[in-house]
Amino acid sequence: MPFDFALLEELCELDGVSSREEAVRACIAALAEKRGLPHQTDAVGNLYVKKPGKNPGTNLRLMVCAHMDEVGVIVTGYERGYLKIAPCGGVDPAAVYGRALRFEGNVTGLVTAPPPHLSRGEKTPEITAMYVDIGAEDDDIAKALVPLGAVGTFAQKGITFGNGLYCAKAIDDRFGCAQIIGMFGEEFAGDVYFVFTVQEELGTRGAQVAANVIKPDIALILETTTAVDYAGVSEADVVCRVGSGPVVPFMDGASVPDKTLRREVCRLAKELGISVQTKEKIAGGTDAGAIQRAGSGARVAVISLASRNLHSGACTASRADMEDCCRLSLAFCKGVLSGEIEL
Amino acid sequence: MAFDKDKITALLTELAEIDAPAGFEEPMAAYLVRRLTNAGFTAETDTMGSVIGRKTSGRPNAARLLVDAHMDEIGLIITGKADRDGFLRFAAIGSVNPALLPGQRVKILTEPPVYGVIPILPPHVKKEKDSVAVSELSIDTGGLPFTEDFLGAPAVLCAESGLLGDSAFFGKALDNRLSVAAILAAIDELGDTPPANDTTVTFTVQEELGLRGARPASFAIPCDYAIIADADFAEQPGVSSDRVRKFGGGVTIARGPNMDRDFTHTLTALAESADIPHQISVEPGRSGTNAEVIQLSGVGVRTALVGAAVKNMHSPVETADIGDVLALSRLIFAAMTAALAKPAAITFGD
Repeated sequence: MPFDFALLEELCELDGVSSREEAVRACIAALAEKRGLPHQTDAVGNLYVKKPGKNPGTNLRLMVCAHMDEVGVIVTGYERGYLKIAPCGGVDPAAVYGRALRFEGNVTGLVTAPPPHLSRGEKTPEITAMYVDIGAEDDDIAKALVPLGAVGTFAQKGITFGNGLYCAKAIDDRFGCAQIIGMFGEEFAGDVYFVFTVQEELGTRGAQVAANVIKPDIALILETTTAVDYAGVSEADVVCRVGSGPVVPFMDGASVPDKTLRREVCRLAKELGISVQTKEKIAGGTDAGAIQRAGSGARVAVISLASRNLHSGACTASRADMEDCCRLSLAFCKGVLSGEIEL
Repeated sequence: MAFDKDKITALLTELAEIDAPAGFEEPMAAYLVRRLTNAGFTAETDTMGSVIGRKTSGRPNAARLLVDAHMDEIGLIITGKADRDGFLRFAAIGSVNPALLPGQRVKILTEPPVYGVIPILPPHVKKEKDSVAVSELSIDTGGLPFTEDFLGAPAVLCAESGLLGDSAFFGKALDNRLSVAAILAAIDELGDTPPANDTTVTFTVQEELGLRGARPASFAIPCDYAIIADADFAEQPGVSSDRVRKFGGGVTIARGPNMDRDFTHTLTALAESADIPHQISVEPGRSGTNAEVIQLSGVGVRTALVGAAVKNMHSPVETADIGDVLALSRLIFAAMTAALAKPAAITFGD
């Protein structure tokens, strides 16, 4: 199964700031529908898609999970016709300052930045101190265009550049979504529960509910993770590297993935000729943390894509890594259900 | 009718797509020579690359009018290989706010151009919170091997342009493409009619590096009057109110020692009689624009400084009111078509 890059591009262009994942959910649900796969949305917005296995009857419940939401901003007020905003998820102020954003209703908003001639402009203000210009003359006009609580995200379109790198907003975690959608057309020995979660960026909030709904024995979380392999950054701060293969972490800030499953993922990678890496810093966290400890607990595995500039409009990741992540995650799911993987 | 909102928007969009960081204006110069020639001007570039176009009035003893706008923009320049493969070091061309650079996509103007991304340093790596210097930053080329072609290659920030609300336009390099657009629209409006004054148009290079192109360009063709069109500062949050003009308040007409009082009054009167929305801006000393050097060019020039207020100057989201750009264009047209009084020549040194 070659990775469907065009699908990733399409998913990244959709806006789905945490709690406003509707467009992403509708797109994925339509794709499930096209495949004739049953799907349902729960009370908080998580989307479930079931792929029935060839040999029903296995007792093992496998959940494969990616989050639909992305970081962004939310409108908290108005001042002289400008929007006042707060971050929705962990957004670096530098990613927002002086940028074009897109708000609900397809309204363009420009985050103002005083000219360097008239200010000591080197400091990046906090997001809550920024002003967003939507071309409104006063607060009433602004409010009518972009109501309180409306969310916005980065407006710039994705680009492919350099040696096969893709730069776009929301690769975190539309890449995970794209991988799972790719699995819709695959055959598995047993049933697979595909779960697309909400509000991961606000602290893996949707996953907690999803795990209680599915009650998985084993959950595979498909994510993206911070690579800081930049110039001027010491090796100790790098975390992981773009172009060095799927990231199979032994631990992050939210969970210690199941050791046996991790060993099996690494073994499969070796068999497939895929080189993998791990996270060299114990930081960040994924839905694995919430799923591992929901209900009576589940065994979790994590496969992540290394991405630079993660929570910005310029997430940057390698298309070769994407292909490898896809092959590895598919082999893992098939192996778990066929019994090839030692549990 | 060249003074049309859709037409000027299309022109601004077209100009925003031409990359011309200071010192590397050749694509813009080629475009503008073509535009001037098509409009019946004789046009050429000077030694530094500025575009000089001329059209005579056909009137005996007509005044000589110069209309100037700088055509360059701020940018970056590649200075070498960084300490990790696939990354480049760079410096700023002109006054670039380093706080706007992290997370920004750039277009490196090699042949062919390549894209890059300036990484955002995550909190665990940042040396000092909230503050960043160009020297700490690099450009991620996506793993391209370093070659000498990168050395000295300019780069621009990738910025999309478009409409903000109903009446504003945003994008990179509106400073000073808005003035270039205003002059081109005025010339289009002129059509085949000769101007009332012997008219020179200069689109100058390297303004962003310190008004460098205007000196030789204005020296080439002696003139009696000069109108310098440049972006002015608009009111916006975080900027003190005494240096800013009203956004949407019409063409700005500057007063101060850098401008000739009588000529400035003449332009203000032209704006009033043609019902062109205008506002007065005060420049207390040297204006920081090409008017500084053009005023003192040759035996001296009666200078006026006009423009339109821009928000977020020197950012990828510079914003101008389209009505202001049209007002600027109409005022330039009014000056081109009003016969200015020919001043007496300076003969003292003869």
